[in-house]
Amino acid sequence: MIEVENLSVRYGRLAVLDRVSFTLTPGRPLVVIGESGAGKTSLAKALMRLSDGCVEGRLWFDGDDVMAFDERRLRRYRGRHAALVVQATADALNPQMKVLDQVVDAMTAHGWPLRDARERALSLLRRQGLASDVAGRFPAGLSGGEIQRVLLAMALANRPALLILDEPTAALDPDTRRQALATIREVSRDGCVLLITHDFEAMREIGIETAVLYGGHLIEQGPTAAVVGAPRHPYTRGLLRAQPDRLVGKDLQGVPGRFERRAGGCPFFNRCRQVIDVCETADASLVASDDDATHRVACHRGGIVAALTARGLWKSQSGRPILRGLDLTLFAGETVAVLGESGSGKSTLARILAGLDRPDAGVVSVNREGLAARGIGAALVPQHPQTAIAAHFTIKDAVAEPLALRGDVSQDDQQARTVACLAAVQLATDDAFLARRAHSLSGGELQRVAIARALVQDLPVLIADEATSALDVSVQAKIVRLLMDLQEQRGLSMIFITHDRALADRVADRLVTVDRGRLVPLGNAGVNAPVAATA
Amino acid sequence: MSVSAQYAVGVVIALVAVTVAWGLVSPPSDVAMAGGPLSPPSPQHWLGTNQLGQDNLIRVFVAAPGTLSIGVVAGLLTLIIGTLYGFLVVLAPATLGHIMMRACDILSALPSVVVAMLVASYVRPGPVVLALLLAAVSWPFTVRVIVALVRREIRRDSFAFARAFGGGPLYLLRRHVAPRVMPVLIALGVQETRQAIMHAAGLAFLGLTDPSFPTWGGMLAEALPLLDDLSTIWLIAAPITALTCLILLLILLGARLETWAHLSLGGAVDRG
Repeated sequence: MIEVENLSVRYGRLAVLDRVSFTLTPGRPLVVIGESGAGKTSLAKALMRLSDGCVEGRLWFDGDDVMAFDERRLRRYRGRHAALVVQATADALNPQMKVLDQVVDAMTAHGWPLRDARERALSLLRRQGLASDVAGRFPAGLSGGEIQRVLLAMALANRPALLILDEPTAALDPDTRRQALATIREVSRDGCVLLITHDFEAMREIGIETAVLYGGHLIEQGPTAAVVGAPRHPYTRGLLRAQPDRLVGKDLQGVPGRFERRAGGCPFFNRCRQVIDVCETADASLVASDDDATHRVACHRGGIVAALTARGLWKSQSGRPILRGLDLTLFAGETVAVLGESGSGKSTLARILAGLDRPDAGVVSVNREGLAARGIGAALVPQHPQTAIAAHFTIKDAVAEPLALRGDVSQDDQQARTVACLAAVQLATDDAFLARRAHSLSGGELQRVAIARALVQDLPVLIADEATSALDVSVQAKIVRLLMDLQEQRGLSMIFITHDRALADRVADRLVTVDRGRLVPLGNAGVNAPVAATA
Repeated sequence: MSVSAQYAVGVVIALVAVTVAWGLVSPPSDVAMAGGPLSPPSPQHWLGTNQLGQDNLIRVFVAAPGTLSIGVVAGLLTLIIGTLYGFLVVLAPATLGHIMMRACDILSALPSVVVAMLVASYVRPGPVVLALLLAAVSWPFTVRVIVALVRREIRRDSFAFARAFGGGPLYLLRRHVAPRVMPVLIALGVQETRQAIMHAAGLAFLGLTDPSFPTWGGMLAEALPLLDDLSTIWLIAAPITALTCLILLLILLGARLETWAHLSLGGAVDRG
């Protein structure tokens, strides 16, 4: 068992790893994910005591203090008890020795008889799917994938109690990758395995535990199913959304901005869309959530906050109950698609959430604390723009109306934001168009005006009720793209009401349907849909 | 509306405005007694003279500002009071709205002309008071129509949105309700103006208004006792022609405005 306590690695004043703590136990492989520069390789090296930086913190190997090991004990630790598989590079192997000899050498150095060592080395190389002639060759002629597999074979040679793998699958083709992963999985059954990767496929296959490293901090840790299924840190969600291996589900999105090393405060501060004051000055420690003690997140806001919460909504229309105690939690930066047959109450729900109608019972609250939006509340793109936009209004007045009524937006600002939003929804922005009356527009144009009016308010929550139904597919694609970009950049949360299942699949983090006046989850919107979230 | 039609309407509105202002600010005094009494039309007096030898045509012109100002002011006031009241009825809580409507019903149940006559017989109103009096007795009749219209308008989604955006009652009335009910309001306004002119003429006819300023109704009243003589036809011909022409003009103007308002709301060209 390996225990890591407050492990930090510094180069001068630069901390590449900041107080990282975790425990590795046999049978529970830990996968560490994170983007380049997160400190993944520094972590691997520090665990082997190979780091060339200034290392602080404690490292316990089966109860022994690794940081206190002398040279001899350390050699034994590095060669026999722990093994590190580094990213395959040309200089990872000794160019002067044949492949087989290098593997054998690793064993004989720790007391293996030469005969046994040769036999075991050959079988290890074979198990990695290496052709038999590779064993007799010098590293110079080997491909990256072959070197990677030789390194893996070498690492396994002494049956280490701790196996650390740094991007072991990056250089492999699908077949050999499968073999390598099978080997790692086998080792992990009774050994401690730490897999450092940004290969999410590998993470899902190997990882029982997953930790997310960002800027040298562990920001989220927990069972892989929980971390992948219901990521709680905004960065983790962004990382999962950026995975191209999602053949189904929501379109690719990323994490806004770029990584900046910060002297203090939360490392994710500059890219986060829900920061509050304390985030700038203090970094958060990993804290378990209320409902799952094993899933921990380092966030002052307790992970992704709820942008909109509805509790116990009841609504009747002409004596017929439409909503019966409906609950909904919409997280910041999340898209929920609401499907369901006509008359099931989707539009009623949308109007209540946007504050157009009042529920008979229940509460709707919109949280905007720290969210990157200027207004308060939820904006609705209505299903029927013909009635929602007064026919006698000019386009400019129609779009700017919410700003004009807010009272704190100057005329120039109103005009600029109106024009920007009209351009964003692919409409004309010349004065002649701005002065046209709403009734002179086509259905598709009017629908885009309605979208512009929702966007111009810059609210943290956008509710789109069949908002693209009257648009041709090319305009629809652009607007959907625009909404997803806004979500990425500004942390916009969306409720997307639609009949179009294919569209819902592309835009939504999760799908729900209205069933007997309540929301129920509808399968998985995508691989990364937070299935556990309250519908 | 074509440009020339816009000019025409503009000129008419300007004329009416000037006349109304004239009538309200300085009611003209009566015409000199220049000719023989009850003379038929002649080159000197195109429409003859009255029993006092005053020129009928000139009297009609002199009476125009008074008549028109009373009609337009009373008509507009009626409309404004009716609209505001109707809007308040719709916005008020249900119970209060019901009470306001019942109050309005009671007021419209009163015979308004009789009430006006009663008040007028005490105060002998001049033009401003007369206009106020006529507005005060006629607005309840417009409320029911306006309430129905406003109820239709506030059920629109655009109204709900504006309210959700934080629009106050005055904003909602000005930007969302009034423009949409404008065609009907114009028709109502023309009708109310017409009625006010008729009522004013009626009151003058009964001698219940301040006799020091001439009105068309007053001229008719003067002719009444002399109607057994055919020669007095000229006495009533002048005010009746003027009254008819004015009301016709108001109807035409109203129809124009209605069409324009209708089109600006997105109505089809063939209607209105």
